[in-house]
Amino acid sequence: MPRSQRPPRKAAPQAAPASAEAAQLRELSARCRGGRPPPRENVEEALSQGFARLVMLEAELVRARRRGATAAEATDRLGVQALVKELEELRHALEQLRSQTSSPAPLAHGFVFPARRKR
Amino acid sequence: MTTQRSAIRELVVDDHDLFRVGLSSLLAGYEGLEVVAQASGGRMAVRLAAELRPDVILMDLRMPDLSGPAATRAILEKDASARIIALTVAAEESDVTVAVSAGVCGYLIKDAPVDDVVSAICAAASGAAWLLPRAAQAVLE
Repeated sequence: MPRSQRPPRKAAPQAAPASAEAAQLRELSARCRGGRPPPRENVEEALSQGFARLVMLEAELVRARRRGATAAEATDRLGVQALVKELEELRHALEQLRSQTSSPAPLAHGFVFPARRKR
Repeated sequence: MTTQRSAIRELVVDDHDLFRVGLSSLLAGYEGLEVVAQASGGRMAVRLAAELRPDVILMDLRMPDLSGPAATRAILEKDASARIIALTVAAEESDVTVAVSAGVCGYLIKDAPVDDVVSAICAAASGAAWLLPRAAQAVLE
């Protein structure tokens, strides 16, 4: 179908410009290093935005790899490389801010209680 | 004759659009999981949980309209057997305590890789206990 006849794409939330979240995380990390720790709310909001960007990029990477496997186009490979690089930068920025603020409580890393009774 | 296991149905609740959409997209790639709906806030989560009765609800804790713990209480009032996992950046012991007091059956920080989120979902849906090795090790230490 020609591009002009295609139905409009469903509106999807747009990711912020590349690495905007990583830059924000790095800025907060710098404040921590400089002895001016930001308020907890600011840290949590930056982490929330960072993890949101992270899962979006991971989902994009899965799609890009799937595309690349079928099309094997050079542009796809470049796209995958750029995504991987941004993911690495973002993960590093998230880990850095986590380590400079409060360490997660042990149980916060993940648990599920067994069900008391069946549904 | 083959027996078909039905997919585990999830409701993803988070006020960050990118997180909700990104996570739902990742979960869609796993066999046996089905994200039946997404809610952008606590009130919407309460409504959708009552309508759709998902097997597992992934619940953010900090949301502007109705907090995760408040939404969890409201959902459990209508369906005491609902399985709700807190999925959040909030990582302090007091956050875990508040969420557990509200009635969540599980807790996971967003730092966790998606494979761990899937493991938690499967455990919650089957009624099993689950503890991330990192959490178990920290508890033992």
